[in-house]
Amino acid sequence: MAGTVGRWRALAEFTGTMLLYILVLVVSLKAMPAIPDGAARHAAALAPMLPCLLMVWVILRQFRRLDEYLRLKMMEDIVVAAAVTALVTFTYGFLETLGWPTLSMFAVWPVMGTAWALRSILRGLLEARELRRG
Amino acid sequence: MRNTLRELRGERGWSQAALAERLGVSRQTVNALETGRYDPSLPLAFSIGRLFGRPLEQIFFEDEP
Repeated sequence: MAGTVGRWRALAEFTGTMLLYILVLVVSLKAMPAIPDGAARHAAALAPMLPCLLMVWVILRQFRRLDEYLRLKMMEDIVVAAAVTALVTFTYGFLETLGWPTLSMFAVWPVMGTAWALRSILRGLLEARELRRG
Repeated sequence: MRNTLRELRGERGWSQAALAERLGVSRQTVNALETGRYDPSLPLAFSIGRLFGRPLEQIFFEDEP
């Protein structure tokens, strides 16, 4: 029961923070063209990072709610995702020296996020199989 | 490490979910312990010992060399 409540709380925190991020992002993008170049424009451009910091806190809270085994598994997921990201970004970095298009830094997180999600899904499927076996 | 968790749980007629609830962990964790895929931390091992009223060495055993 406590686990179910924790899951719903985590989902509510995650969803709320994502909605806040989208709201701040939209306001920031709409406001920026009207703001003259300078500190205020920089602040507007970086404003979406505030909900991102909140998201880091939400993820840490969820991590601390997990029991020791699930925490270990989540750590393994993150290590694998970081390794995949390092391999992919370095590989592409070397290809850029051959003239491949230069990518934005924004490309890094989707690579890590996708690797993290795929690894988590694969682990979830394997865990589900183990649970069915009993 | 090997353990007798599955047998001890079976003696009491508990499901994995029921044991997980009593230990305050997930069902995945109980399953990983029973199948030998995970060795518990000392605090969790002591919780298991307390729950079944047995010393740790009667629940957990070293693998054969």
